[in-house]
Amino acid sequence: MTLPARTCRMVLAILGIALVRLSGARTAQTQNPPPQDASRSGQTFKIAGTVVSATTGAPLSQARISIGETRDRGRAISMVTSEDGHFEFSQLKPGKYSLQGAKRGFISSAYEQHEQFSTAIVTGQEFSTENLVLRLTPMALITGHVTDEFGEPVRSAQVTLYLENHGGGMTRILRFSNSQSDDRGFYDFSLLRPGKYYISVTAKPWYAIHPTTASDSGDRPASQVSPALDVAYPTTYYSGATEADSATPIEVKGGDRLEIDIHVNPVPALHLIFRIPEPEPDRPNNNFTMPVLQKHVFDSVESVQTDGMNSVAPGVFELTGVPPGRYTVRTKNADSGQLEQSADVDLARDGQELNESRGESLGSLKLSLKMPGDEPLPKQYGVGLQDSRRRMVAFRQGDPSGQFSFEDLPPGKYAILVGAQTAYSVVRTTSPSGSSPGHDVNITSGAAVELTASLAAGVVAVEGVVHKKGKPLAGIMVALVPNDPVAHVDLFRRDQSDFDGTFVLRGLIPGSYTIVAVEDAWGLEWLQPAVLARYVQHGQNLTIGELMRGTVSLPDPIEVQPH
Amino acid sequence: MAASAKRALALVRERPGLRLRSAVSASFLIWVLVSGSTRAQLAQSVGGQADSPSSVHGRVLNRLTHEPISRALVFSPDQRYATLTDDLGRFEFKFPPLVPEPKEEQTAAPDASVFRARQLRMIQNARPTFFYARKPGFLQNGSKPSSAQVATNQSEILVFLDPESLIVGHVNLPGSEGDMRIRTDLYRREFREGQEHWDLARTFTTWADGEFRFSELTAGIYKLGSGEQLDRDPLSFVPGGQLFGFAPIFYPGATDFSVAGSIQLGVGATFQANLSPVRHAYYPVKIPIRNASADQSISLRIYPLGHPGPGYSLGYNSAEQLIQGSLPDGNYTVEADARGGQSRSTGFLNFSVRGGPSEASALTLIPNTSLTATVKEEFNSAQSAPAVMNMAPVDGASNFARQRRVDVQVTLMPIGEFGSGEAAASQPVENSQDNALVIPNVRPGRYRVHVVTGFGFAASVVSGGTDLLRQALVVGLGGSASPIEITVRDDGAEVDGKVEEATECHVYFLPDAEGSGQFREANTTQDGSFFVWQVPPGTYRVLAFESPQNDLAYADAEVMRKLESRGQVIRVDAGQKEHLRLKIIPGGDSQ
Repeated sequence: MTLPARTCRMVLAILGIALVRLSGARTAQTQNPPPQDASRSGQTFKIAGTVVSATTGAPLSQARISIGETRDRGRAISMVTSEDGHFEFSQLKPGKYSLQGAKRGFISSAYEQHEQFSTAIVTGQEFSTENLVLRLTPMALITGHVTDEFGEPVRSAQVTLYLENHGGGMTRILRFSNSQSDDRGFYDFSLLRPGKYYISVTAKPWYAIHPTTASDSGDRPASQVSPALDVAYPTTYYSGATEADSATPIEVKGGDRLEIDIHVNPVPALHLIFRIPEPEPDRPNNNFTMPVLQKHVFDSVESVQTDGMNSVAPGVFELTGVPPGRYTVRTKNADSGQLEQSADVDLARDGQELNESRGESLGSLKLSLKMPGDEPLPKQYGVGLQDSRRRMVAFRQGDPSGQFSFEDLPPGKYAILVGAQTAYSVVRTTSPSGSSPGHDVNITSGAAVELTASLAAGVVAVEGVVHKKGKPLAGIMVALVPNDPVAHVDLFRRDQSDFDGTFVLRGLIPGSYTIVAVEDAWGLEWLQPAVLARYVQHGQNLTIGELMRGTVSLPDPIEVQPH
Repeated sequence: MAASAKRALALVRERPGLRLRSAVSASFLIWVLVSGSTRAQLAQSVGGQADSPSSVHGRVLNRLTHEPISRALVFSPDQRYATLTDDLGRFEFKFPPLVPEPKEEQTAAPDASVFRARQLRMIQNARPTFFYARKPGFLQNGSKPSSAQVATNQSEILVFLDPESLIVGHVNLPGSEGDMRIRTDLYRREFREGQEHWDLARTFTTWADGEFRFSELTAGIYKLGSGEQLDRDPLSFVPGGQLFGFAPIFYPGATDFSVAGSIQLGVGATFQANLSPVRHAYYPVKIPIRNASADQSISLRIYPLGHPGPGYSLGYNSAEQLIQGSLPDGNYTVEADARGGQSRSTGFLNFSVRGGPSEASALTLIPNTSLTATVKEEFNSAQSAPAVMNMAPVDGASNFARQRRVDVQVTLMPIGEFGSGEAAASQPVENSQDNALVIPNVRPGRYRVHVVTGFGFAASVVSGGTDLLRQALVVGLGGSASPIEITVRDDGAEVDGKVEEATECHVYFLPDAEGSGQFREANTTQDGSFFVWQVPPGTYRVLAFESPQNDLAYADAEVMRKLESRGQVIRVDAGQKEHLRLKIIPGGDSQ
């Protein structure tokens, strides 16, 4: 196999070590050329092996196995495994092939897959590709019943499944799926991959009644409803916790069939007071919104459904049906017209005034994008804001104007991220008050920030090989670590080494980096500076210049570091 | 009671064109009238009179078995009174003593504080006039309100709850290992203009093991089907290869909705139904739309040749103006409805899929028809003809032109067991000299023409020699239709009457199939009396029920034959005044 004819080669010194290959066809994936003698002799090779269950090791028959040259994924060929789980593709030219397996009831997976990375099979005389083991993990199922304090089924309960996610180098617990209980209180979640899950239930007691009890001046007639009916179910986590932090994780292994029953217990519902200022002749009172209660749930913020808002006196509203707990309260400041968000407050007392939980004013950001050089904006792209916990708090589809407006941002530091076919990063932000490198923007309380964000395009790829004790090693995580990694999370690039130890890192933004290769590093919280620091000191330095294009081939192998 | 007062109290209405069950179920629960009318009770409370009961009590009962329901919630609409029933289904509410109006308030000049005090006293003294009840396992909508008048403190209020009905079962997908969910659709037989029609009532995506459960159903007649589902079993699902899918199937095993079995679901019953969709090879389908424009949005319906019904679907690729998707072998009709700006158009195409990709000929969209209607008024009584003064001077002349108001609304209700259900409504024609109306954007199809008049009644509705009061209006694809000629008269009959030993109930005037009558319905007042005016001359069967009858298929001759022994038959002529005494039809079941 030869490279495209139009590829010209030239040598550029990058830190004195890197060899750069300029390719006219950037989309073509670059391969290490196979041994020349094999392709000349017309010798063919086999990719063969056995598909087994990742949990039991038992061979899996009737699984569909497909291979495709990594340069031409559209032209995959496939076969079905025999009774003993065997598969065999023969008459293969030397090359690099992705290997994938799928079977009903199992999670489709590529060879040695981790997150979105896998190890490609390389055929050639020096590679043993005929006794591969492809492991497929059976899917798991969680079923259960939601019952109330009498053991009776709770209908129409909202059941939410959260999954601890290790992707992207940090651990976050994110909403994964949801279900609604039926007339028996039954719910299920199917097609689950192994992992650490959490389940929450949000429901209302079927018999709950929330009479308006608030009294403007103590003269409102008392309600005749028993307090036993004026109740709510707090959002309840397995196994009984009512705050996410105390939830019990559910360890799910491949093929598990778990029954997770959740019991909900009523608590007295709160009656909260919210005041709006009396209208004045010169200021009509239309500049207010009703408060929104939100709750921190693991690594997200979720809005809380309240039962209702009743006017109890001129300018006074009562919010009912809310279980006590820690909330953030979003209100609009009637004087400034700005939305404000409180810090976490304990709502625990009947008649508590939501106005007193006034917090910081929310800010806004007007953003205009500046493309590198005179490039036009991509046809399809989007811009997102990520908070310090790497939660995407806002996202906008891009349009040809390149102008974006984000409202109601709680004060804090945000990273501006751009998503498009080509990799782009914000490398500099410019405001009337000055200019600073990086993609961060600081929103202070009530601020209206206007910024120009200058983009750099990731048009450079780096290829290389990982070695351990002088030999190429497959399945190794290779990471391109930017200098000051915490501030430049979006500059990270990763790959997994292929059968021949090779890897490709694409879409590199100009800058200085260290490349590291670490064994058994999948699931590592590599975004934690301390975790990376250990490896970075033994990595290889690399600088991508502003004018570089195409693929950089590293002349020296990257040494694999132990976990 | 004077006739005018009766008029004021009796709620008389014509059957609305489109009867939506959801409108009924939007209000919660069974309600029970405790005493008098709301207005009367409030007047008493506010007046602070001592004859208001200091407590009420009652029981919640299962309507089917009349057994008491324990731990049911009973509450007042304002939620100030609520309690759970005891083991014998009993409940009781004690009202606080009424707050009398202080003397000084009556004499003092009213200011804000007095007003506020009055307001609070009104809330304090308000007594609930009816209660809702609910409990899981019982229906939450008051489809059959029961009323019990409480004259004194001693009377017991009976609240009846209908036990829910269920349709449950499994969808058996061959090869599934608890990993294939499929959508199931439940259709309920409803009635529109007295004619049967199937509406999508609920959908349920099965649990992983294929189970579906439709709970909290009202009794009635249902059809059940499963949706299309691509078979993604990796064993046979190869990208770019032959597609397989599960075609829609309708209980018990029909491939066509129109021949599917109906499920007769009784009150409190659980019906077990299983569905076994069949796996078919699916072939690509591409149908160009010849004259679609980019700004049009196109909605599609695909059904077995000539049998409108749910199940199949195709997509629309607006970039290439192409209907795209895949279907199993068979003969189909595709119906395209294009909207964009003011204009709407429709196209039909029959095509087949035969063991391979189907490249049917192009579908052509044809603009929808606009129909005109003219209104002729034949009013007898001079004072009854409502007139408006045209306030705009005509041609600069200072004299006001006397002009009749065009107060006629024409609605075309589509006929068909399963249709889009989209009615077309008339609009007045501006600057029209002859009370003309226009009904824009009428899709091809068969319609029942429904005429509502602000005064009088539509004595005749004719189009090109077709009597539209009795026959369907047929609108062809892009064809021009004759105008609809409407004659409004004001000499309809007046019928008043009383339902014996009844409180609030519902009276229906069902026209004789061959005669000139038109459907009318009326709700009675508390004492069972009713009054209906402008009844078109004709022969009617008059029926009285305790509960509203939303399912009266009066246009169906067979249903009418079953009602032959019931109610009372009257014949009214123009201008006639008729008095009726009716007996209530027990059980409230018209079927």
